[in-house]
Amino acid sequence: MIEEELRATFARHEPETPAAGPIRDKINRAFVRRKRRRAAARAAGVATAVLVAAAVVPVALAERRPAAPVATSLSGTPAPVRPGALNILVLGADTVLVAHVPADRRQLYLIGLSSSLAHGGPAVSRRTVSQTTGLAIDATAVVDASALARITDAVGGVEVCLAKAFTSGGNGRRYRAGCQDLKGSDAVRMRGADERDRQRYFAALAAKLASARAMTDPREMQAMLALAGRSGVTVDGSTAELLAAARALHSAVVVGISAPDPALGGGLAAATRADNLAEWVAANPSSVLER
Amino acid sequence: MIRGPDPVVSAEVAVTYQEFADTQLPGLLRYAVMLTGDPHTAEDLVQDTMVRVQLNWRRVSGSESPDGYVRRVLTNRFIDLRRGSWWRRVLLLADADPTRAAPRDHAQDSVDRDQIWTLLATLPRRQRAALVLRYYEDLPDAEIADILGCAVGTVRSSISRALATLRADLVEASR
Repeated sequence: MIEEELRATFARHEPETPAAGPIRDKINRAFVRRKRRRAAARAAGVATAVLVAAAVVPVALAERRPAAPVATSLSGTPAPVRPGALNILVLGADTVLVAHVPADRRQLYLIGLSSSLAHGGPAVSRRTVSQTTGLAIDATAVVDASALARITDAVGGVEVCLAKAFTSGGNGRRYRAGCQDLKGSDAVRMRGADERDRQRYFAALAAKLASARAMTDPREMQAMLALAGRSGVTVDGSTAELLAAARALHSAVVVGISAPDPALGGGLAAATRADNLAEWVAANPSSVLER
Repeated sequence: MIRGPDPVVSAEVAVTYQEFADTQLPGLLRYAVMLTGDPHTAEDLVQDTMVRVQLNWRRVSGSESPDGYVRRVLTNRFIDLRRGSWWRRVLLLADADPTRAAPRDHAQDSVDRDQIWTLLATLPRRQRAALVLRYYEDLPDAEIADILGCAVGTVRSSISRALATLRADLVEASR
């Protein structure tokens, strides 16, 4: 009987099974490495999350019935994951960013725009940005300064390396050039700072979040997002679509870009529209926002 | 006092990853050896699976049967080549070395003894998994179907197809 021979064959090869002990250690080491990498990548995603795409997460979570098991509600609703790229306009703390989410979701590009584009309410800003840059904006997220400040303080402040000294038009504080630790309220009141310096704050916050141990724990992460609060973050656009994008972004690499001019010249606008930023970044390294 | 089952308490007594690994790892390794036919590949497969399991431990431990969940993950990773880079590496290495000695170079005695083992490697992975689950793990067809993510009828037909292939090959080889 072939069945019996099969059983005998399996039994005969059983002794080839490697010992569990050493493999267990290997698994644990691999796990720690992976978790560290993933935490860094994810936290960068979360930073932007907080700042950008997943700014919608608290909103989406609040919309979901708390009693419903997560798995069911996530898989139960067919998420309209748009295959194409997404452009999300982020307005917050004197900073205007376009978060460009490529179709492959492997990177997240934060394109720092001139804050001069933010005039009036979100709708007006959206139209202005869209007209100036020629980009179709899929959603607008408004992150208010106090939400950003709370998040910044939650990670113990950030170290920002300012290129230029300035006196804030917000709190009258003098900010010196060079690297310094800033608490939330100081970080978000850098009115009058060099555009790139303000964008550097976002980069620094992302970095700080990446190194925060809290970021390895999903529960802490939720708490962090909750800090942003519903009132601190408002989003228009399709929540489901953004949430799907945000979830896909958890392992994305975050690339900060400082736009050379408001109209995203030098091919930046075209590259963004064509969802081809990787090439543009490679050709324009000086526009990549270093921390 | 009548004490019924306490669902709240039992739901909270979740097994930790370390406990799970203590009890399940040896069995998973044995299972992986039977699936892959090779201790090194089995080790890679288990390691790869368990790292994932540990990363998603909350979801795994919250599932109805963590044990079944992990077996499902491992089986799927075995069946689905495209997902795992480690596997592609293994295949590429194997492809790049056409001069590798075939098992038939062993002593005739061990060739006979291991004919089935060798033939197992020629089966489609899904069929091999079904055979291992039934004749090594001794699982009922319903559980096999659950692990393979298919209907019970499909399990039965793929097992009978696999057995037919093995039988035909054995006859062929004995000529």
